[in-house]
Amino acid sequence: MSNRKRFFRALFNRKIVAVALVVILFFLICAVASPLLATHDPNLNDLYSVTQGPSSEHVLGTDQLGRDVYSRIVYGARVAFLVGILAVLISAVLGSAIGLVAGYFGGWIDNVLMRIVEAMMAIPPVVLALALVAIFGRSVPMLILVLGISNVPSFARMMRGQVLTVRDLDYVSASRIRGNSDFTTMVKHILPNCLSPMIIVMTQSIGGTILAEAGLSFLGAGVLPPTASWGAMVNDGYTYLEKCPVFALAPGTAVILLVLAFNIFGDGLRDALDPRLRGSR
Amino acid sequence: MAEHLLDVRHLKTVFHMGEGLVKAVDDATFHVDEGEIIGIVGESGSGKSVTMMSILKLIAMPPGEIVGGEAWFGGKDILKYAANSPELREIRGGGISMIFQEPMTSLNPVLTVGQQIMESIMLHLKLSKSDARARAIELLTQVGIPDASSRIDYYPTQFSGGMRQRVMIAMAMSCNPKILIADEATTALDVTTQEQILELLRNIVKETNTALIIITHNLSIIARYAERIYVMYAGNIVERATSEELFAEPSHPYTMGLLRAIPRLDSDKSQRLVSIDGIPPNPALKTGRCPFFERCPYAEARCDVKEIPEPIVYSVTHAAACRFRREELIARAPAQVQTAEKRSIGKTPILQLVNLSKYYPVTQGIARRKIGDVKALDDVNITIYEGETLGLVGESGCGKTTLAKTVLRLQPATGGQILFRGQDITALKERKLGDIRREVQFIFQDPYGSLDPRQTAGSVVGEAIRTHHLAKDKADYDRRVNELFEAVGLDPGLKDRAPHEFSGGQRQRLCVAAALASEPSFVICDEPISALDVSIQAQIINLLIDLQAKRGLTYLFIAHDLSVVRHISDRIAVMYLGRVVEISPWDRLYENPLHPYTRALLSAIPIPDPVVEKARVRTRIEGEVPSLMNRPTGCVFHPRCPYATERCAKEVPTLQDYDGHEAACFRIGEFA
Repeated sequence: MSNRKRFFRALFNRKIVAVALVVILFFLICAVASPLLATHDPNLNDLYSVTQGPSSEHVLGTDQLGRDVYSRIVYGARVAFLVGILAVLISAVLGSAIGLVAGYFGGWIDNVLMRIVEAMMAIPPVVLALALVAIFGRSVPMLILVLGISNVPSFARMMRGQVLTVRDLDYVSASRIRGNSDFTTMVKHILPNCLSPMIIVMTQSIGGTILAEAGLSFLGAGVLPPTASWGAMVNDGYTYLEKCPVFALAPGTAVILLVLAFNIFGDGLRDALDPRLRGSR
Repeated sequence: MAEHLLDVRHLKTVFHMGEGLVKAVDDATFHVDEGEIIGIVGESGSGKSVTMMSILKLIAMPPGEIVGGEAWFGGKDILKYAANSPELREIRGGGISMIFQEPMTSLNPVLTVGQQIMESIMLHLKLSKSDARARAIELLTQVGIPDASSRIDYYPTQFSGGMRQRVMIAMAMSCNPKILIADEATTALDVTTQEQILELLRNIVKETNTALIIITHNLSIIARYAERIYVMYAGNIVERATSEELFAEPSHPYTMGLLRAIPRLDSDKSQRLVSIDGIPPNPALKTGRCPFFERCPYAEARCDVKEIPEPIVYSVTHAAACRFRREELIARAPAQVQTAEKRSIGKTPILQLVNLSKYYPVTQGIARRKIGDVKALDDVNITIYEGETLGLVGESGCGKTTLAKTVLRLQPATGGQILFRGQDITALKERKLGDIRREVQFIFQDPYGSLDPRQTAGSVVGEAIRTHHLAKDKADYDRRVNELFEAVGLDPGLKDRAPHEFSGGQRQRLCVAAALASEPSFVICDEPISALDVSIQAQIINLLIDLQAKRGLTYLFIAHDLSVVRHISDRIAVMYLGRVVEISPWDRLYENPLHPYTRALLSAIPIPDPVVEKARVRTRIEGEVPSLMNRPTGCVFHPRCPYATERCAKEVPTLQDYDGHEAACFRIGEFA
């Protein structure tokens, strides 16, 4: 118990980490309870009131099709979280599995897996995404898959590094001497002891992935319209920057806030979980 | 009272930690005179290092704080100086200098040793660069570094561990300090190297009339070198005496206990070691009572008061902080030493190693071209019989752990055979090893690294029961785990604790319990006690001996400490650079060691008794264990061997049988 208490004390040692958590929770609530929080249907066109500034009817104004910007941001949080979390889960699970196997067995298995991973790293994620979108068309699952796969190499390499430090510890040898199979040894003794850095990197990656999603949507390779996505909204709005700045600035601010919050919270987690890393990076 | 060189009175140091106030040094009073060698003995956490660090204000403040006491040095109380004051900086290095335990990390790897020695010479003695260099070369020669004038420009990595410790001594002596503090300075070194370094230290301080303070946990070392000894326990100095007095008439229950708990080269091994019960107190939870109260077999109602006992003075040099006089303690001595249970040793071999070899390839460049082999095990032949304990000794790098790992099939053998109960397991597939994995178990050296920090104690112990499906049902499993906990003297109620909540000794008990869970017949113990405190070691040795008698276990007991090996083993094998050089029943090995290496190893082990020590005739060897990379040709020992002939450099001697006592040496006929 006191361990958990110490962890939380270390985590919220810096006030900004608590603020970041509040920001994340705020957007999470937006994503979960969008229908309750939105004032309008996010996809309802109203061609009589396009690109209007903030008013009592539309808190953050309307876009070029007269849709309520505030409601679209609330719904956009759904896409952001869905893509961010699912893509990171995919890359973490796949990457960890590859890293675990490569690091534990070493030898030719390690060589083959790591060369594949390096080959994957050679392809820039944006190019990969554009290529895949061109072939398979735009959709949220597609986006999740693309962003998930493009992050696999970094997780695999990181997991492998962790496994290499744990693999030669006595308790891993002890497990083998006890007669445990390689699978049991890996899952029961190695994986749990490699998890805390993984959790830190996962948190930090969510921010990056949300940013990547916004970027791809901005480039038109993201979610399919009319689904509300912050990136697509910025793309829609930047042509009206002079006439109606809120239209582009509001979703942009949302992206910045959420990404920053995830990064700060990730740093906080790192400090709390592994004090040795404090101040690095 | 005559003026002492350093006179420390009632030093008190505390650390303000999260859990509260930790009284690391509770009341330390000691002194040292010019040219004198004193020893401060204590277990880890006894405050011996903090005492020295406090005097030089080298502890981190905060959280540390010196709350009381005086330290008179050169007519001034140096505790009054601020940590960064010029006066104190002058004393550090100039007046009092220190040598630390870890020669690998205490030298800066990016500066040559010469630069590092010259730095302090120029700082404190204000010599010019060329004079400083001359002085550095002189010092390096003095500490026995051959060819010092060219070696001065070497980097620390180009020196071996023992050589680095010599460099550290040269550095510490560079400014003619009045006092030299050696803080566990030889603990990380091999036995034969340790002896060389301590001899060197003694000679240097005697030549220069420097005072030497040896801080150590090893009572035996101190018996050989120190003139006076302070015994520290839980932040208090519990006894002070000359070496002769301390070993002949120990007067504090803790000192008495320690002396009884250490196996000696000359002790009667049929008797059990008398261990000190319990564990050292947590300095954060001090009660204010006599610090030894909880563990003391003599404690009475009158000890249960919140006051540290006043020392009873036996002579000018001898005092012990106990409420009882020595005579009273002896009269009330606890039940006499028990005799160890007799075991029967079978004649069936359980494990046979036939010409076993393990080479590691050495590769170079990105193409990983093989340029040679490191022969970690070379042609090893050992047979272990059912129910016996074979002790395996040797210095670091001799292949002890490689042998264990190869036998356990954690790594493949390069050549030869491993026969377990007659079955060749050398190349058996991992899947077919099942039964061997159940029968052969291992106890690690480090009880901290060998337990998965994410498992509870109960699941560590029970894991093998599940793996090998030994339990019929949940109730049977629980019963077995409880039994194992009780067998190793742990409360089964602690099952749900995490490993880090246990002390070192308790963790080693957990490791023993985990090893016994699969009901093995053969257990390999790799230095199972060397990571533990002295007062805990005897508990684990006794536990291992008892378990062997009860369960009919066979042990391969690996250690570098010949006195411990002697206590527990029936036969002993001595290894040097991957080869077995001698193998013999224990009594014959100690009475009449045949191989010159064994002789040197035996005589390097100090006996905790200054009287016996002074009377011993010793064989000394020069140099250090060479690296496995450049292994000598012929007999691996010949470069260090005082009896080496030309033949030794060319041919490899094999084990020859001398009536059950085997040794690998060409000149054995002359010694046998």
